[in-house]
Amino acid sequence: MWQEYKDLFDQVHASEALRMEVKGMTGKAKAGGRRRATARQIVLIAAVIALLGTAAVAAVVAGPTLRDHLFGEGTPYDRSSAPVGKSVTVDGWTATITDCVGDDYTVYLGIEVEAPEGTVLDRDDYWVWVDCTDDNEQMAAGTFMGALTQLPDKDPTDNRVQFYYTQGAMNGGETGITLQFKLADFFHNSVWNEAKKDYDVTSLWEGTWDFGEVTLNFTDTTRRVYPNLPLGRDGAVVLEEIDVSPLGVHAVLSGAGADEDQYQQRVIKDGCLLRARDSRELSPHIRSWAWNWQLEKGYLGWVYEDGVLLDVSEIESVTLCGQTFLLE
Amino acid sequence: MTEQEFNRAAERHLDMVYRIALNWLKRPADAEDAAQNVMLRLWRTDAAFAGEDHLRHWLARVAVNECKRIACRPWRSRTVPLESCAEPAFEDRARRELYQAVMELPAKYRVPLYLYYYEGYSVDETGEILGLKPSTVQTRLARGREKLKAMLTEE
Repeated sequence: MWQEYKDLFDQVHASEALRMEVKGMTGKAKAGGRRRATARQIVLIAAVIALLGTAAVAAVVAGPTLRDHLFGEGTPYDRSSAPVGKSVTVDGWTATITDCVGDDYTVYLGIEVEAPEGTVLDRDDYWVWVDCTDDNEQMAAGTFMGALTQLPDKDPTDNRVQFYYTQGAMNGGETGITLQFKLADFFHNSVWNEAKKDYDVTSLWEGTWDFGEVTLNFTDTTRRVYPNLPLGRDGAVVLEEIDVSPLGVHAVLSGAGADEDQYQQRVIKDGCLLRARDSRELSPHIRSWAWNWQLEKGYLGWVYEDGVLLDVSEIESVTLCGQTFLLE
Repeated sequence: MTEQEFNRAAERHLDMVYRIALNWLKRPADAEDAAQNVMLRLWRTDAAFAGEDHLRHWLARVAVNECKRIACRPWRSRTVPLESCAEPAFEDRARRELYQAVMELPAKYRVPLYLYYYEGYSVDETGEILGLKPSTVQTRLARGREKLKAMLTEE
């Protein structure tokens, strides 16, 4: 079968039109400028503008938690998010995953919990347990850590509260991330019990919301550059890729020994600077570092504070390791 | 990269880039968009390549990243009547059926199968290109093989 498979793809070629287009690239400027849209793309873009209007109206009706309670309305959210709209109801308690935002390194889920009619949820210290695993085939070792955080309640007299859930992930998936997602119990912390060395919690409901498989199809608006910058004298460790997403900046290092402190220090020493087209400078705060032992690569992450989404289309350049890289 | 080096790279690797994109995105029009973007990145990059293998690996990685970006575009789920690139045409019926069977596989199996069986990358190299653990690559290869065999047996 595999010889037939090879013979099959021997017959699959890029079109002559694409070959000519690629040949013509050497006549374009090496840096700067934008690729000229083809006639096909201009028609596609016009269709998108019409369709995005429809999508925004639908999002308002669904009450997306991340937009309404964390990131706010606007272009960065519109471009980087996707609705989820998956609900589970048990014993009259309903949990809904409303929307998601993410990149290759972090995902945010917006979650709303609705109690049975007549129950008032007016505290700011509610908790819900989270059991979340990705599709095992996508998980890179040791990168899942998540927390459910309650968001400010815009109406403390009603029976609904909102949360967000965030976790780090190395996304190897082709289209979005697939999670196995469960929430359990609804309670609030009350009084510290010194004898037990724990809180005496007040449970309002005990049970499990099992969402099963949840697929997150947020739009990947990450802009990437590939510096291939050697970081040491022998060139074994390389700054391979810089990803600038609405949630943060990640520098991907590869090569044996790249987990050594000397290379990380080289990268983070001068911080990370983003420059917008209007010359504004943004310096996100470094927050994470992860290493994949099997792939011999890791990333250093500068992420923004919770609640900040960057409009990456406004970013002109990223400066790392003393060098400035233009984003195409 | 000089013009001569770029043209040589395009001649040698454009089909690989296009085929990776086709296996990922399935639609020839999207695959051509992806391939065009990848080659433009190559022309504009200042990266120095240690050799042909390095360049090929770089192109495969960038192709995968470009496909991820295009795959998540919100408008992909909508049908837009456009002049589209033609699907590959095969005179041989068995080949047509094999192509259809391959394209019916989920992308998560199609792409590792292509990188491993056609481009000859090892499991580790395939994992590195796709950002997957080697064990994940092995699992996907095994499942992809099973599904493809099952589909071809049914016909």
